[in-house]
Amino acid sequence: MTDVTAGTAAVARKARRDPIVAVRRYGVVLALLVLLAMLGVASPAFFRWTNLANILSQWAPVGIMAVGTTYVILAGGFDLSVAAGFAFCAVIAAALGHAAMPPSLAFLASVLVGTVIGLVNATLVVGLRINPFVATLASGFVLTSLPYVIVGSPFIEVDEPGFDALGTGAWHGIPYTGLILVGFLAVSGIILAKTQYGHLLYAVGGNAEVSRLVGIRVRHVVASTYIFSGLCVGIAASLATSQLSYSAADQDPVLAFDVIVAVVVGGTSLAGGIGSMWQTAVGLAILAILQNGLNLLDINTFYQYVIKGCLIIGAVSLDVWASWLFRMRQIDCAAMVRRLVRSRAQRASTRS
Amino acid sequence: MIEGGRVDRKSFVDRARIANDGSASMSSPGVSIGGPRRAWVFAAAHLGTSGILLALSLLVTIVDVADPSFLSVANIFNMLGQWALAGVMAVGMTFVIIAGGFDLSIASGFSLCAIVAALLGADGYPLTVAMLGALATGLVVGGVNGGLVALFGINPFIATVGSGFILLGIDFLATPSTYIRVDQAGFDALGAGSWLLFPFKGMILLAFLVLGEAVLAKTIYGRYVYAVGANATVSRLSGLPVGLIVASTYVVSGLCMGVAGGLAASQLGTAQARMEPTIVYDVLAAVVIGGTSLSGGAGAMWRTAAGLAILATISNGFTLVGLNPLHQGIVKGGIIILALALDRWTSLLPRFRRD
Repeated sequence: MTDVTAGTAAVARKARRDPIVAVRRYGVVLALLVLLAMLGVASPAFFRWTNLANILSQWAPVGIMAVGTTYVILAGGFDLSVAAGFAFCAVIAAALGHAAMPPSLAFLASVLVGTVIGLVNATLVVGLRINPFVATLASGFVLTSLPYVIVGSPFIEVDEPGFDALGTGAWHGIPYTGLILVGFLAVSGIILAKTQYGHLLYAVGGNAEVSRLVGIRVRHVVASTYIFSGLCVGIAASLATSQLSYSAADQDPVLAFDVIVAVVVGGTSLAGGIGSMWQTAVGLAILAILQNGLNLLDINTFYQYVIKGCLIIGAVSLDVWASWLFRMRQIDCAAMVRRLVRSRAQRASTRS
Repeated sequence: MIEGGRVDRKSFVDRARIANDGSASMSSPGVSIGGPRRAWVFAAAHLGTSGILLALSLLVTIVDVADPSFLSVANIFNMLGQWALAGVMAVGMTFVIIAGGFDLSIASGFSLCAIVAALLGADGYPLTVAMLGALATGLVVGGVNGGLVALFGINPFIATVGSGFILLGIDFLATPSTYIRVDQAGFDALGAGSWLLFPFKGMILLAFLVLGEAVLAKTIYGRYVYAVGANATVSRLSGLPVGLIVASTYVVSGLCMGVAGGLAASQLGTAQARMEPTIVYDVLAAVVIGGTSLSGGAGAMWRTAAGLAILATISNGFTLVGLNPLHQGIVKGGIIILALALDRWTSLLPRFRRD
């Protein structure tokens, strides 16, 4: 198996040197730099430390969920239950916090519940072999209703002192939530890029059938990504509840889309097997900075949706264009012209 | 020559459908295996195709026993009216999904169509003009989605999430205050009117389902939609205009969006951005519960009708029996999982028997 992973790594290294692949991979970084430069010029408030810290903590929950979703998508799956799971875990954390349980226990419970949700999703997708899209749609339905059944109402405020320490606290001016986000991105990125498990993920997402024939336990690998995604959802929900001291039951599909958009804008392919964690980080940064910048510049929030939509379509068009170029180059143009000329000449000779 | 080509193409399409429909491929083990085994396989195969109808009748029986007023004509008409908006859009979604695509822009697109209709109504234009405006808006949205997917080759999921965001922005920009109100007398004739208790909305839903079934099952265009969804490459090689067919399904979805949006504006007399943000989940659920495959090429309009009936029965049953309607997501999700697990199991069963 080490041969296989070494082989994929070698192929990946070779592909990285390709100029078109480079455009495809690093185009987003260029876009981010342009965005940063534009905002730096347009609004001096942007590069102030408080603003940056604010962006970090604001996007920490979405970012952590994007980390989990990156794993799921890389392995060729899909998790649509993220928004509903987030809302449910938030309700659990807030309900326990409201019942004067120590905050750490409330957050631990939320993380545990998230992991169980991931386990259930994994069972549906891997055990029952239901299409991941539909399976997580269905579990999303269940999760949307569960707070009403268990707690009665998904809107719970927490008054306990210390509950907001995790979400609003800071270390030398850096919010804990931001630290957690950066740590999460870094650790999961290293796991993806440097460990055998990470390489297995790429192999499974690239071609599940071949991976199975090679001897990879495809089902275990796929299941692990859903469980990890559930864990991330639980952590994200804990951070968000602690930030707001409120179970922010945002079951709006827009949240789920934000998570997926961050992953996809970064350049991770929905077909699986292509992408990486730093790309998700760049995608997140683009979304976060765009929104923050448009707010600073006092641009109507409604335009933000339009711009976000254009950005998504633009990013994916770039991807499609690059892969089209890649394919075109593999066609031997000179041979095609030669064949054309020969057939013309043949036709002319038969006519005469 | 042309005649021959057409016959060939048809038989190819049939083969593509058979290959993708578990039920049709059951005939081969049926032939090779005789006696009681054959009956077993036959039963399993039929459970696979009509398991959804079995589930529906079971559900209807349970709810009807719990409250006999469930199957009254008035209640059935009422349900048809209630599910008209999601149902009409599910018809369009069925086309898109069978062709192997996906449309996530329907929630914001639907709002935009309703906003256009309400703006026209608020400006004093009659209901027909407002409906036509909504239809035209839906067609444009569908055309753009179709172009993004078929012309640019963008993954349909991403393309429609992207266009959904753009539409959401346009929705907000097009709404001057929080919502648009129509004060015109008679504007609610279509959305809230009825004929002998039968709401016009319900009639439109039925008409769309019947028409959709006819187009998908009986016309050449319907066969092409199946063929493209089953295998786009083979379809292209056998001469089908794949891009055009894929794009056309998004236009159909846009048309349905327009009808639903116009109906909503007419019914409520108001429109706003983000009218029903979660309606997209209901529409998807209706198509998927019915058993239409998300990978394209397999499914039917009657399946979507059955899926809608199941969803309607669950939500209506919850209110009739006096359960908290907010709890119905659990049953909804559970039934989707059960239906798909059953579908999966019945499609695996004959293979095991054969071995």
